[in-house]
Amino acid sequence: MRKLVGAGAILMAGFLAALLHLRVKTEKLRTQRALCQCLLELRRELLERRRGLGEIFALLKEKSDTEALRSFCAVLCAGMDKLGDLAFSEIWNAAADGLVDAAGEESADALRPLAVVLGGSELDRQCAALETAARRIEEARLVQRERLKEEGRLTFGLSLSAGALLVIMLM
Amino acid sequence: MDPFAAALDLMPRKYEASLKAYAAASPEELRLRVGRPPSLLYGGREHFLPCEKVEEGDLARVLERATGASLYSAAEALRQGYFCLGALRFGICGRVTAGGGGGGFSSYSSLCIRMGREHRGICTDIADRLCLRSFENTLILAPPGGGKTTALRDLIRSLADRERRVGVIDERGEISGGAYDLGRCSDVIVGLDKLAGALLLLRSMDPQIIAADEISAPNDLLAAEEIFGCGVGILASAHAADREDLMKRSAYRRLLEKSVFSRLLVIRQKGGMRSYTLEEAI
Repeated sequence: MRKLVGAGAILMAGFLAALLHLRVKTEKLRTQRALCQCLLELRRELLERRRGLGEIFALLKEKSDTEALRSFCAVLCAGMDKLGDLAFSEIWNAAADGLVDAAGEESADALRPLAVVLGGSELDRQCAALETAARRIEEARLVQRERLKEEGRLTFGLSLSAGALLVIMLM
Repeated sequence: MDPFAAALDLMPRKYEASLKAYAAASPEELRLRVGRPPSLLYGGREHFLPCEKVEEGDLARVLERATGASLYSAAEALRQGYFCLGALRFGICGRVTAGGGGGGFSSYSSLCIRMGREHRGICTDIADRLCLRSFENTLILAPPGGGKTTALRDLIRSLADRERRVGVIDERGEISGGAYDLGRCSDVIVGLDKLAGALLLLRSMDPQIIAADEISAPNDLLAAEEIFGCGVGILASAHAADREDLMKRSAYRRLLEKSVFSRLLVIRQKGGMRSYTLEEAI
């Protein structure tokens, strides 16, 4: 009986570890989706209202529904107070670097070219660059979502098989 | 904040000490040109500062700080030549992007920051003379940088403090500059072109005089005719050294022939000092 409970506990632990692993990956997908929406919202604000970037970042920070994105916008808002001492490109890149853990290196890579475009006098160029960045992040997200589905099946399969093997060995 | 201090606040730190030493000279303009040291315009001429040369990154940094990294918000004004922030007026030169129409720059080569000042009382006597009977429509003449806006601002204030309702069309926020006193009876519309601004003021504010800076575009001249046709006084400024200079341009000649303006206020500069002469337009 004790062996059975032990085997069950091991099986459950394997299952939970797989779930946790998938949850982290799913959170990354969620952040990427929110980041895409954030970039498109920034584009819309530029096109329709032509507000200042500082104001837009503050607005996006309020609207953000993921912690990582809120923190990204907060870094940008804080950086805008240091304009002059810091170039906008430095502020933007610092915020993009801070997103690597939460949204992945590919998202940060898509954001970095915006550092030299945003805030300039050419609105069309900024809007096009924002669209490109959002598209790159969305493409990366879709690829990762497919990979995650595969990974999910494999992880659950493996954890269940390992657990079952352990049960057999313990019995 | 003093306009010079405001301009200084935007400058790269490497120029701070050198520029501060010139605060007492009350410079009118600060110029940054790539590959040259910064310069200040005062006493009627440009003085180059003994400090390191300006790099393109310096210009971009100044513009970033001035606009909060949002130069696109000033692109429309830039298309007309310059943009204003408070008492500072920014003019830019550089490589204009294809199809940018002057509003989009891919690189910068020169930046001119004009520091608007309030010289209260310089036109009080002129205002007295203009108001002896009913207000006489007046066009202020001076070459670029000759003090037209400063004179216009003081005239508006003097007239509005004499209980004349003055509607001010401040297309790019330069006349009001955020904080200038334009008198008790002034109503200011900012951000509209002169024709639209004139129509709005005529409809909504019942002005006795309408004032506008730098009338030059065909629509500006149309606005002047529109105001004249409504029996409302006009106070405006134009780029020209004197009456002869003005008459060389057909659009202005037509305005004078139609008696839209009956007086010219000519500003002349000699040795850093300005003189103001009120002349008959015709």
